[in-house]
Amino acid sequence: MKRQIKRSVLVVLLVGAIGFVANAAVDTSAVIEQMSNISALAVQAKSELSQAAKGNDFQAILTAQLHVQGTEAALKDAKTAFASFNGAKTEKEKKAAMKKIKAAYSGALKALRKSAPKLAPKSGKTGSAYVPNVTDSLWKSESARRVANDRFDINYVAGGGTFGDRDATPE
Amino acid sequence: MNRQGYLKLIVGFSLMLSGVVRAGSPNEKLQLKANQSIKVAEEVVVSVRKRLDASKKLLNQISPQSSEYKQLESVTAQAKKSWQESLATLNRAKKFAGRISSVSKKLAKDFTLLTITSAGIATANAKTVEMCLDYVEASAKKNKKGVVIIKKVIADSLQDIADAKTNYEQAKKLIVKGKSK
Repeated sequence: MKRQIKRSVLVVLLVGAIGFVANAAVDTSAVIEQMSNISALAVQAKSELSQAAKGNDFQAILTAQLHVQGTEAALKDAKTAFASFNGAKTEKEKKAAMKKIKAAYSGALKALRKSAPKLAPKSGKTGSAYVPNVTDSLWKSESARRVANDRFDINYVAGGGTFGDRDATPE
Repeated sequence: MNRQGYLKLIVGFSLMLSGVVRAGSPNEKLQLKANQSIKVAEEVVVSVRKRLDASKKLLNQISPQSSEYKQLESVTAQAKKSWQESLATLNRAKKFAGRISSVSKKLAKDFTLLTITSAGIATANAKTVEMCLDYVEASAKKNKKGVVIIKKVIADSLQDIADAKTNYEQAKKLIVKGKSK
């Protein structure tokens, strides 16, 4: 009777171990597959950006840039994790690296679902969305802006000059 | 064997079965993914072929004497070369997919992996061809801002494809290792 119990316990341990071993080891092929997936997603995001840039759609460019930034960050994390996976000596280290690569892949997918906030006119105002004016940010002073906008005549009068003075000879 | 013994034996077999099922299931998932990857890569390659033809027509509209012509011609040639590469990769992926059924389970998993990797490269490569064509179209429209952005993303994505190819080579090595076992 005791022998039978021992035998059955042994069988339990053996078959259980077979099942466990079949799943336990970290699969290198799965890691490579995830890396390949992340690279493909990064190229996909860049392709989206080039499409938006070609169309000159400001809103689409902003969203595509957000996608590119997200996938790039995920790819960077995945590369770091992949390097540590290759250098890992224990199964625990490999599992930790694999977890990071999986997280990076999820992060890339999440980034592709994001969209940039819409550039809408402020409440109560109508017209097209605000598009930053490069001249405004480069030329801070009022007179500099006037010069930049080719309004020399107004600027000249504001500075105290009168028309005709410009042509007068010094003597 | 008494009742307890039978019970333990049943539990043991259940554990083994769950192990086998769990080990087999990712393989099926990979095969499904491989088929999906090939389908996506096929669609991308077909659409790229259409755009490549459209791009040739566009190139014909630009004067061969203009300074842009030579640059655009070289970009189109680069796009064509990449398209041929992605087509070859796609065919390789299909070939691997066909061999999956004829190899052992362990190898089948690796072949599926290689199929996915190849299809991934085919898709990424074809996407880069699209970027080259975007560049040609933006140049033709004199969209300077677009040209600057596209030029940068082409350079970056070529690096991504190079990385994907490195992974592909590693996957191939893994299969050779699996065969020698």
